Amino acid sequence: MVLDFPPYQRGQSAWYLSNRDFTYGCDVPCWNIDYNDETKIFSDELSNGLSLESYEIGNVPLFSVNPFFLTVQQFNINKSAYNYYKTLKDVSENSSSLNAPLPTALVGNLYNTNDLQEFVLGRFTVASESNISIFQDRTEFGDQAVSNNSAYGRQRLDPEIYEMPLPEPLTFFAPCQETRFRTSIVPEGWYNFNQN
Amino acid sequence: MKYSFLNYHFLFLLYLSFSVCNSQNNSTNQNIYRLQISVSNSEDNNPLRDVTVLIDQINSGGITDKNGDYIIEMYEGEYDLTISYLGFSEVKKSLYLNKDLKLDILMEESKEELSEVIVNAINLNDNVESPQMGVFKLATRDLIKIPSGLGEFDVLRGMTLLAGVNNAGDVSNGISVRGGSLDQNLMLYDQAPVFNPTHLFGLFSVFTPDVISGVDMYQANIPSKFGGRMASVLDIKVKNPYTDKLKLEGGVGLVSSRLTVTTPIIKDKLLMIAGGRAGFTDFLFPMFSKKLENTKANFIDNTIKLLYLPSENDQISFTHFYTTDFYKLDLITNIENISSSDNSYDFSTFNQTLSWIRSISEKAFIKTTFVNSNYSPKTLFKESEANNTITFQSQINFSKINSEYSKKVNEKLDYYIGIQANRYNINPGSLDPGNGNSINPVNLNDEISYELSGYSNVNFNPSENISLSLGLRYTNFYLNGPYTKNEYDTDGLIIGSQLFGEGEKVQSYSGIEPRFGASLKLSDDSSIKISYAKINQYIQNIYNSTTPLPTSRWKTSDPFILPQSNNTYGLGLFKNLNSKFELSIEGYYRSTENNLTYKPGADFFLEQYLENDVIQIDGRAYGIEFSLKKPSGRINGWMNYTWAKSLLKSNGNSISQTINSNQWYDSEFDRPHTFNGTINFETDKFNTWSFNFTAQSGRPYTVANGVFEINDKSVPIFLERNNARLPFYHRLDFSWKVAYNKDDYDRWRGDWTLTIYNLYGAKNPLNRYYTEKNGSQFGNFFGKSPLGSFNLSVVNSVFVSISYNFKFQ
Repeated sequence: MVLDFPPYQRGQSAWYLSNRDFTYGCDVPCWNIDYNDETKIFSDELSNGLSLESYEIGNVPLFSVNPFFLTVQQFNINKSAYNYYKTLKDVSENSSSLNAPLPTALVGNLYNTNDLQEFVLGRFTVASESNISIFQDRTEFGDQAVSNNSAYGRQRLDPEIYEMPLPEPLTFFAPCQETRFRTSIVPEGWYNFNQN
Repeated sequence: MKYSFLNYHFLFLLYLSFSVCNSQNNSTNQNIYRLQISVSNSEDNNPLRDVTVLIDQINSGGITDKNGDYIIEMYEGEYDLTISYLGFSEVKKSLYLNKDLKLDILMEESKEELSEVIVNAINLNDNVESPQMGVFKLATRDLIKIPSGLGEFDVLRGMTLLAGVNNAGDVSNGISVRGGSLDQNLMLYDQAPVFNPTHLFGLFSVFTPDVISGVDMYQANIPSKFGGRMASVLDIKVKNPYTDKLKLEGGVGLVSSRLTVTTPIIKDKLLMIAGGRAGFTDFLFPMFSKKLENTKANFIDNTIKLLYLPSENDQISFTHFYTTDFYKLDLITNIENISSSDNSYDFSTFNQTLSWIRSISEKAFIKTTFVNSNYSPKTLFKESEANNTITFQSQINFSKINSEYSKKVNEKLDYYIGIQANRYNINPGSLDPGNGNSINPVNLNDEISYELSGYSNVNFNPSENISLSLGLRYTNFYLNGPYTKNEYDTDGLIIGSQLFGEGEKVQSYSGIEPRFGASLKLSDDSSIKISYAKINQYIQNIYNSTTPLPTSRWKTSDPFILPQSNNTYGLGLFKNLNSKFELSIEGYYRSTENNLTYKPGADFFLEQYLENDVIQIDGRAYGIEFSLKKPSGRINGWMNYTWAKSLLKSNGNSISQTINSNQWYDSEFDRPHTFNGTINFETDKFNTWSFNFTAQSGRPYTVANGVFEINDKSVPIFLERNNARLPFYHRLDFSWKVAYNKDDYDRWRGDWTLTIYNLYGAKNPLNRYYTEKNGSQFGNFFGKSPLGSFNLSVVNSVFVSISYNFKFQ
């Protein structure tokens, strides 16, 4: 199974202007989506039929005390897909240890019918998915967030005083663009959305 | 009190009579007389072998045999003898030979004036005369002075300073000899194989330092009494505890402390040497490198050898060797699919050797040896919440019976003949869930196999200038059940299987292995040598990581994994200059078959069948080794330069069985240029300075052919193997030994040794790898985090250590 791990957080939109980074408020309610840094892949060959406890699937650093919404996606994949993703993890994440797996070709299940020796990247994978979601309000945590500015620690800059001359018209909000990392679609299950 | 051993004495007498029978008449006017020189150690009266005897007038000489005797026939006249042996004070004698003469020489160990040389030919001319090529014989007194890793005397590190021998980095689980892999070396410790020769993930070797009497290393025409590993034999010998009084020896150091006791138990009958070393070094590693902050590393090794002399003709010895390591290291990738909070590793080796040497006639011996070796590595997974530990364990149980008859027929001919039976019982892995319930117990089937061999070797000197060594070994390998032999379709899926019951023969292989060496003397001090050897290898260590530890898999040949085999050819020129310098040039070519390598994504962990995870490929290695030694003098040392290649080539027809498009590519042990130099300054009685410099081509590694993105992740694409090389490796070490005893005959003798490893702090990378420069926490915001290339270096700073060593007798 592959776990994807998007904690949705209320965030702000970014705008990219004349080689400088600015952050603005979003023009509509908008959520940042973050994913696990790590490829989480697990085979139950050693634990088939048993329940597994305390398996770490990811972590949500306290970048802000805004509430977040966590979705755990579990994909059930077959052995050859597992081997593929395991190799992917080995070459990109497990490579820094003393006993690092040696770099190896990522051989998927795509090939050129006219030339079987040709190396074709990528893999066509079919998986069943199951989901669970948790809403977490962190205002009561007490701990100090890494940065109170919810834009992931990036200082919010006031464009009016930052750079002259300013492009017209003056910008105070940026659009919430639908990407893999941002959405204005209210996550299903977001608690008490209007309050915030 | 002095005494001599009865058995030696006995042999000596017989030798004498034999020599008289063989003396020949010469038809000149002058009379010919026999001069016998018997050399023994003044300390214990034991005969000293391999002592050099030089006779000025005839500008010739030789070495003493194992009874301490050197015999020569010369015309009547006056002769000046120089008798020298490394570590002993030189003895000079003048005599007038006008009758058969026997001269007893007692040599005194030179307490302060040890020659600081590692590699020293036993006989000033042995390097020229012997038909053996690619051989190094090192005595402990030489090994002990190498400025090594952590101020520890270390056999394997010493070896890597020799031509043709490399390690695979600052932490390496063994050595690579002439481009071979780590598991292609047979490491014998008093004849018992050692499967994991290193402590602390490869920082230094496991052999108890103070009990080692010497190391013989063969890398060309390996004698036929050895077999089973293709590249080299490292024969490490434990001291025979000949003593009549209690001796203590030891040291206190930063990394470990040692103590060795040598004592008679029953005088002249039962003698013992027992040595041990322990290191509890958790505090040390953060100093060594920041990356080792959370390291736990403890180890123990000990060796006990008992020598029993029941009669004049028998010598029975028993050697016990135990080593264990326990460590925890952040830099080790955890095993997948077992959820745990931390992993620790536990390795132990438990070996016993029982050896019986019987002399059955004046020059004939039978030596019988029983060996048992047990190696069991463990990984301990501590479960995060539950107070439970999951244990993964694998095991090798090796036993051996070896019997050998040897005879010296005359000065020109000697031979040996022997048989050997090995049994391997490998448990590839078991998983014990402890009292937890997140893991199912697993126990893979034992793999039981036998290797039966017969061997013989003849050394023959047909003329004064030619020496020949002819050997032959025949090996037979059987894999027995229980075993399941699977049939696979083209996609590697099992379509059927054949079951073999316990003891049922599954597969056998056999091979004839000729060994040949010849030396042609061109002049008194120069020779040309050729050699050839074929060796089959039935056991291998399979891994798909940069180092075999901690989860490599030992595997004997089976119906799918064919034995590896090797043909080695050698040609060399040897020359001694003014009895001061030894010069040699050796060239070699090795061609190998069925080298094992992993398939993409191979995972051996708790896998019963490996045939789908490995492929077997061809290899070849060749090189030229230049070596210059100055074995003696106040300033002594050696240097060597090696030019070498080690290549591999696959022959597969699908992508997963093809490496680098079936073209020859550099193996990970390919080092085109290697230079080693060691120089020792023995300025006075109290101080010895040594410098050791090593420089070699970096290890081949794999550079990504491209990078692709999956979602927000950069993944390097590797289409080739070993297509780049790490930067040149270079390092300078220094050691300074201060001996402070003024009186040569103090019973308690001590010295301080200061070692500076990596004197100028070279940051030699162990590996270079790709990973994302940082997490995507910030990266997501303005694009993805780029992939970075990083160096992993473990020894990247100067390391200073100091140890105090003592001897009491």
